[in-house]
This record gives sequence, structure tokens and C-alpha cells, in this order.
Amino acid sequence: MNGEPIASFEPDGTGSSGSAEGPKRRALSEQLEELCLISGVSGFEGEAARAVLESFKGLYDESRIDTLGNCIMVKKGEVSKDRGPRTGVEAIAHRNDPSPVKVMLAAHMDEVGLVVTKVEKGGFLRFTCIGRIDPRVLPGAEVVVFGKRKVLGVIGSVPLHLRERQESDEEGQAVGFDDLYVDTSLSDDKLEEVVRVGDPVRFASTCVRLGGNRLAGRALDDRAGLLAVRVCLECLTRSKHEADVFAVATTGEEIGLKGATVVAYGAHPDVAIAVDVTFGLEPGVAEHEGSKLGGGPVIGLGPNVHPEIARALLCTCDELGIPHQVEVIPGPSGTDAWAIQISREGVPTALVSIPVRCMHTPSEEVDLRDVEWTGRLLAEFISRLNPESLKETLEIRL
Amino acid sequence: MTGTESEAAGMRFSPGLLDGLSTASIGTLKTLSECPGVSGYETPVRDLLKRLVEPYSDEITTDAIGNLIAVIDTRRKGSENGKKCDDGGGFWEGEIHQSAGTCGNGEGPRGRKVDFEHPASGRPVRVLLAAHMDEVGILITHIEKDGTLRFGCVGGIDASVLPAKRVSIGKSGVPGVILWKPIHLEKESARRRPPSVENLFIDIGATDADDARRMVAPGDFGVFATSFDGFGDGRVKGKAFDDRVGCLILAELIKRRSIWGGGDKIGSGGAMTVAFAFTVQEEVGLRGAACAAYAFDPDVALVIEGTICQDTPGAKPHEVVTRSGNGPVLTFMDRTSVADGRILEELRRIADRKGIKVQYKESTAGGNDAGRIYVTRAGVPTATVSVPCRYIHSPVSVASISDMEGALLLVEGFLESVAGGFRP
Repeated sequence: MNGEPIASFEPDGTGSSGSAEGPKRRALSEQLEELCLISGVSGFEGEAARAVLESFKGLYDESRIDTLGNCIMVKKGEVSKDRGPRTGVEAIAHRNDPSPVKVMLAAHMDEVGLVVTKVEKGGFLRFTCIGRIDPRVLPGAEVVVFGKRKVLGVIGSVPLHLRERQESDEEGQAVGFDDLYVDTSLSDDKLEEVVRVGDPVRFASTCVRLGGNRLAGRALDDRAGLLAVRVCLECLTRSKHEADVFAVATTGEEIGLKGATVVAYGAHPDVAIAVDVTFGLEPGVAEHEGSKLGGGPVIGLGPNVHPEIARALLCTCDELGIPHQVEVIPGPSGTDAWAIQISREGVPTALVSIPVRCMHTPSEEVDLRDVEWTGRLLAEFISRLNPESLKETLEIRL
Repeated sequence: MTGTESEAAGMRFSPGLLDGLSTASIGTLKTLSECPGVSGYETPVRDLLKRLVEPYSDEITTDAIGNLIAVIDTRRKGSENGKKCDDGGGFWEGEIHQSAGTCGNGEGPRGRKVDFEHPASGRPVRVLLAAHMDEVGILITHIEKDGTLRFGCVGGIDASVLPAKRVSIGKSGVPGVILWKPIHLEKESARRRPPSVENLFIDIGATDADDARRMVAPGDFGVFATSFDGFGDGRVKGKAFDDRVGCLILAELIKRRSIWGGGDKIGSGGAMTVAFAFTVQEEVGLRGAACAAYAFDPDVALVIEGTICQDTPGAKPHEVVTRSGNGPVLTFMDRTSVADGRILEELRRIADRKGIKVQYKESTAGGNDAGRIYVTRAGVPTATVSVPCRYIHSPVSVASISDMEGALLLVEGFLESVAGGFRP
């Protein structure tokens, strides 16, 4: 590791929500709201990749959308500016060249959602979930059905007293997907014409600011991570960096890390960091299960994470005065890092997460300071990367 | 106040289906629906309603427990352009307040006759139309150390509609989210456990209790943060349709006074004194209506309500209660009252005559202000006209515009009928 910090870190506002809002925070909030306008239920991210490219305009030198819809944005380092980055077979051939380090940042752009399984008489749709959704957050939620055109829907449930109940079940049973339906209130003919089985459905909830630093909305898992990547690219635009940065908005994370699996192969990075969200502390979540909102980026530790990369990230936090937390993950991390780590001959991989409350619901919640801190941490880490420093970092372990 | 996007829907209603509601009426319903007014905290919606109906009313009063009562005397002309007419004589000061304290029929302290012998008594027939303006909601009960809020429900809210929903707290509308533990961390055995209010917390983005106290206080009310919009074919969606649809119908009738109560309309039944009562605290036990009915001492009353509608998947044919789009609902009996048969019969006749499609509430579940009004003083013949509302008492209800329009015309027909001499 070498180089001076790209910017000394100045917290934007204090911990209190009553503090005056800085222009930076507002810009961040607006950018996140913009990213949340994108619809990208896993498997239906087509619209999302183009929207991400549009939103990140000016922050990358090259871009492409791969076969699984991953949105790959390349920001060239000082060395590559003239000759262009090496990818695919070419990259393998030059594996031993002192070419610039290729670092991949992966934040998934897909979101959990629903999919239509049956069109019923009376303007109703039956559905199941894409990704992991607790059916108990659905009654009374509003959704957008992506048929031939967008259709607004309200999720209704079979009333409590009409639900199948087991004799032994004193508390009664919570709703399951079988008890739920989407009410579109469209006539049978119109619904038949506009919506088909297999059409994706997403939550209709919009973003709302909570207190001074937080924002609630759908799909913050992982648009918050995507925004952190954006912040990182913005920082790098203002400073010099040797490494080539592959900023990837991945697809299919919520249905089994599909996009990350192929993009890690295609991009063939020297080092990778997955930027995702993790469980925020909230009532019902034990101290050891979650991280504090506003407590800074969460550095993952465990088999999924290269310990020296994690250590380097922690050191960078300390040097910059960025508050940070540690999350120990003994098994699968459930993030893109899990797939990227075993791509090709293996990739030294780390995981940086942003705490989110109410995960996988229409009202996920983040602290915008955590997003900003994460972006700056990534930028500082990348600005220090060069072949020698990376070798040195990894060698400590070998 | 808005918690969802409306880009997907747009206002797709077709106004004026039956010469009843206009686009402006639906705009009024939007403001009524989005306005907060939890039982006991009805001030915002009362102020809104007062602004809406005062210009067309002969007398408007807020009583001791907060009911807003607009009175129209058909002997007065009112004003088409909304200018309040004033030719002396107070229904409220002169008659109602003075009669308060008396019990049952007979002579009031000032000699006001409150018997039913109209028109022989010389007293215009007194008609009460009631719609409650309060809505179900929440009350903040406690601020936790971590800045999250505990709350209780005002009125009957099934906790299963609460997880991960948006709320708006207090008069300034502090936004909040009802937190829900991620499914990933929920033990297998707990996943089919229904939510209960004791385990739910509201997050307003406060970092700790002190930070939370800067934004809210225990006792603050909260409502669902739901935006109103056109929905599907001929329907609308929004919060608090129970009973803002009733409030809309009353407000529209007040504006339409020349149609049902113009000077030339005084028929064989003579003049009418019609009180439009926007009542409080219906959702916590039909409390406001009791006082409004006692004070006004009506000869006949009609309650206009938003009612249960279960014409949705999972309900067997006998469980649907009402069907959205099948017209206004006549109730023969519910948990709190049995409708007056003579009024029901008259409403049926009016529907036939006007070609309004009506339906029956095919259940005796639920209850409304009629339960109080019909046992007021010596008893008041009372019935209910309802609008089916799907997902009633949840963050978002769905209702049909044609049902509202039908209810408006049916109640209007009833007023004409009383003017024409109908007496229960």
C-alpha cells in the first residue's frame, strides 16, 4: 500500500438528525432516489442496465452489457488510459505482465419481487416471489405489474377468519403466498390483454427521508451498494489511480448470484470487492446478528473473504477516520462475493456491506452516511492499488 | 404524505356516469382521503370539511366533542355560487342548544316541539344524515432508547397489514416505517406467526430517544401514508375510504342543495331541516353520533358508510358481504342496529324509480353510527346506505366510483322523498 489519502474525511453533519443538511447529503439522497426509480426484479433487469449506464454517465471510459445482462463499466487507470484494458483471453495471455491491477467492484442491481403465476377472473392475479420475501409484509402493499404496460395493483389477502387453520394452532396462521393476490381492478378482458403469466411485479413504494440521515424505500438492497460504487467512481475521477476499475452492476443476485458468476469469469479481475447490504440492527435483531445504521461500512470476515484484503480495508478506514464495523460470516455470505471468489483460478475477494433495516420489504432503510463512507473507503483502497502493493498485500498471507 | 408512486395508474375514472360525481368530486375525495383524522384527533379533516361545506350551509357548528354539523333549511335558498345566505334564525343557538338537557319527546325549555306530528306541529321535519370523519390509525405510546417508537392501534386494525408499511405521524406528518425483521433472521418455527402490535416498532430515522423526542411525542397520532389515485377500471384507491366516501357524499349533497331542496321543491311534506353530521370517534365505539343525534333530535336519520367488501379470491359466495361495482348497499341488520323497515322499503322504491342498482349487505358483520342514532332519546327511525370498500381498515382501500355515485343519488332521492311527504 502506498500513496496519500485522496481526501481527508470530514463527516457531513453530526450524528443527530436535527443537524442541518449539507448539499452533499442532499445530492446523495437524490441520487439514491434516482437509482430506486429503476425497476429490476431478478431475471427482468433489462431496463435496469441501460438506466444504470445513463445514471453513471461520465464516470466510466467504456461499458458493455454481457450475456446475462450484467452492466460492466470500466474506468481506466493511468497506465491503461492509452492502450485500453485487457479482457478475456487477452488478459489470460498477459497474466504475468506487469499490467495494471484489475479491480472489480460488484453491486447487484436486481431486486426481490414477485411474478404472476395466474390471471384470475375479477381483475385478480396470483403470484409467487422472486428472491426471498416474507409474505407477511405483503397484505395492503401496493405493487406495479409489468405487463404490456405498467399496471398498479394492491395486494389483498384472504381475511383471517376465512383462512385454513390448524386445530393446534392457537395463534392462528400468518398469510402465505396461497392466501395472497394482486387486485388490479381491471376488467377481465383488459387484464387478459395486458398481463400474462410470467410478468414481473415489484413494490410500488417510493423513497422517503427519515430523520436527518436516513432514507427508506424499496430495492435499497442493493441500490445503496450501487450508489456507494458511484460515490467511489466520483472520488476516483478527482484523483489519480493506477488500477483499472471494473464497476459492475450485477444481475440475478437474489436468485443465486447468477450475474456475478459469469461477470467474474468475463472480467477476470485480480482482486474483487462485493458491495452489498447487511442486516441493520433493529428491534427483534440481536446485537450479534446485525450492524448499526450510521456505524459505517461493515467489513466482512470469514471464509468468503480474503483476510489480507479485509485487513487492508480496515487499515484504510483507520487511516481516513472512517467509522467501520466488522461482520463475521462463518459460511456462505449470500452475496456476489461468494460466486466471485471461486471464479476461474480464484479471485482474492472482499465484502463491504451497508447496514439495512427491514431488508427485502417495500420499506428498506439505510443511513446515507454509511453509503458515502463506503464509497470513499473503496476509492481510497483502489487509489493505493498497484501490482507491487497488491502482491505485497497478498503475500503477507502466503 | 404519499407513499407510493402513481405513475402506473393516472386518474382513470370516468366521471359523470349517472349525472352524479364530477372530476372535481373525485379531487375532493382525494383531499379527504389523504387528510389525517384518527378517532379523537379529527381536527385536520374537520377543518378541511368545514372549508368545503361552509359556503353552502345555512348554519355550521362544531359541537362539544368535535362533530361538525352543517344544517340546511329548505325554506332558505342557499346560494349556488357558494355565498352563505343569512336571513336570521339559528337552528343551533336558537333550537338545538336550548333543547339540550331535555329528555325524550315533549316541550323543550323554550317551548320547542320535538314530537313527530309534522306538519301539523308547524315544525319542519328534521332529517339527520351522518357520516363519520374519523379513521382508524395509530397512537404513539412510548419512545424506546434506540429512538424507535411503540404504538397502539385506534380502531380495529388487523396487525397483519402493518409490517413494513409507511405512516405519517402528527400534524406535521413526520414520516415513519413500521419495522419488520428480515425473513433471513427469522427462525423457521416463527415464520408462520402472525404479526402482533406488541412486536412492532416505528422507525422515524431517530438515532436515539432524545433525537426521536425532537420529532414526536407519546400521544401523537399516526395515519397510513397512502396516496389516492384512480385504480383499474372505474375505481379509486386510497386510505380511509371508511368513511371519507360518506363524507364526500354529504359534502356533495350540501353543494347540490338546489337540486333536492330548492324553494320550488318543497312538496306536500313541507320544509325540511337537514343536518349533515360529520361525526367523530365512530371507529372507537360510535361515540360522536350519539351526541350529534341527541342534540339535533332528528325525526329520521340515514347513515352513509364505507362497508366491508369481500368479493375477492378466497371468499365463498356467502362470504363476500358486498360486491364492488354492484351499486350502493342497503343494510337490513348489522352488529349494532336493525334498519327501519319503512325507510328500507322507501329506499328500494327510490332505487327502482331512479334506475339505481342496489345490493344488500349479505352479512350482519360490522356496525356503524346507526347503532347509536336509532336509540337516541325516544328513538329515531334509521337506516344505512353504504359504499363497498375492499381492504377496509388497511393502508389502502379500493372503491368503485359508480357505487359512490349510486349512493349519492339514492340519498338525494331519499331527501326528495321526505320533501314529498315520506315519513317512516
